[in-house]
Amino acid sequence: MNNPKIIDCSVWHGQWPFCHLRYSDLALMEKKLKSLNVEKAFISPFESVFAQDPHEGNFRMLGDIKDKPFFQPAPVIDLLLGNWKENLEKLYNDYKIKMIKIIPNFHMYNLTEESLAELVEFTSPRNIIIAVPMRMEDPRNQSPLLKEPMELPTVVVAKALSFYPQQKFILNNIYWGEINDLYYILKNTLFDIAMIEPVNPLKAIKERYSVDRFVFSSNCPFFYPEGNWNKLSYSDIEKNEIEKIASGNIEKLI
Amino acid sequence: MIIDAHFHCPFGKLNTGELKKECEKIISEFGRSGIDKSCVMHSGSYGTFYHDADAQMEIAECLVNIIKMYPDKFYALLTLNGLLPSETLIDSLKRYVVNGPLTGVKLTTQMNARDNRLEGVCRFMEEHDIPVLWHCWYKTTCKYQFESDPQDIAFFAKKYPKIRILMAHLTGCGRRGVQDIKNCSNVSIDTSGSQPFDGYLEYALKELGADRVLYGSDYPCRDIPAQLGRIQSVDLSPEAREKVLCSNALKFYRKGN
Repeated sequence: MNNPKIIDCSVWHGQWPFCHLRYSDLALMEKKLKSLNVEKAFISPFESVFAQDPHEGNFRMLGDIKDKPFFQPAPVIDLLLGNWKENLEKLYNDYKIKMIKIIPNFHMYNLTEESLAELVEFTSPRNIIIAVPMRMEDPRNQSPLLKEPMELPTVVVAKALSFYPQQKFILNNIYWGEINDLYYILKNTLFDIAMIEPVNPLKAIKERYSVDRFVFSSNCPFFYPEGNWNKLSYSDIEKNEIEKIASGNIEKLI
Repeated sequence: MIIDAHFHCPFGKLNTGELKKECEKIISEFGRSGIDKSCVMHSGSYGTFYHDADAQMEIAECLVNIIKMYPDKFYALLTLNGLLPSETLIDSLKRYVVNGPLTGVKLTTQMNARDNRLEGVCRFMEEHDIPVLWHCWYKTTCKYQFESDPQDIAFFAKKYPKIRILMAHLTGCGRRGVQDIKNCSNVSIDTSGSQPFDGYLEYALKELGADRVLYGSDYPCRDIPAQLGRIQSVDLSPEAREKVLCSNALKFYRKGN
């Protein structure tokens, strides 16, 4: 069984409003992830998905992880909020953030070249990765209060992200069937494996694409971490290829 | 021993050689994942669930071939298209389950579990102790018109109390679905469905007990180790773990053990 060193590109802080999640206890999540050889995890606040001002969630999370260097902050930025630039600057200057998340489909704006322009102007020269979840959960199981599938269409993502080849993006929670439409046009983009689940996922990635373009995310506490860890640990591709997905590719980027 | 209680084989109109190749691929996945045996059923995504009587026969023959080639590796479940006449379905069951090597039945989205058109075939199943794996999901989006949800399965379970039912897709049925079947002692649930969402298995074990939960992956829609992680992720006594991974499936399927 493989047990590579892992950098987890996406975990969440706090509680999802529709169900209790056991690993929302940060100490418990850290202990569990460390037991699976995760050395570092990029964390974003659940609170900021629905909150009117996501920065309240960002700063609450920053307070909670202050003495936990295991967690690297990936704050959520809402590009419709009046003070996002001011807060982003503060986050960069005070916390040296290496990644941010944007969630356009929950923050009610369209992901376009125009909506990203000012953000990329700030993040690209500073080598800050922009992570974009394609979805938060399986839309079939989402709360009936969310009337529409809260997902980003691949055509929208392809058009907006391809306009910024200088910017590094990570697409979180992408489905296997969506990658083909994005892989070739978005050479500036990595894909996380959290929701990629063909049979023998790493082998499928290797056979169809390149292992250089994929990174590990557990999507904990939404997901039990063993699920994505098993994609690595049960994989029968070369060790060095597994290591690239587990940590090597994201290390290169940050 | 680990038995995967929810498993598809992507076959359609295959000759024995192609079927063998597909099964070898599955058995190689067993080896990679530590699985010893699984049920095996037709997968609609590789053809259609709305097959005619000839195709129904062909599916059954493919399953017979699989069981002949690998008798220790699979429990074969015949996917019935409930839209076909009752007599056709009962003839298939007589030939392939009662008098043949197949173990049970899979029912899916063509017909809701409450539909009276299923009455004839279900009375036959009851009489001949034929278990059924029922596809099931509480869906907010992408729901099929006649797809059953757990309330429908509970209705079916009360109407046919002697049929052993495996309600599929714990993650799709959710906590509400677990409550729907809690008082239906002839219904168990499999752990398959969707991505590795946390919390569902713990809830099902707490509410239903370890005797009514069966590990299932939904291969090839899902990766076996990623789904197996669901069982690894919860604290269970060795006895309870063994029930979920193996002995509950032995009790549910029976024929083919």
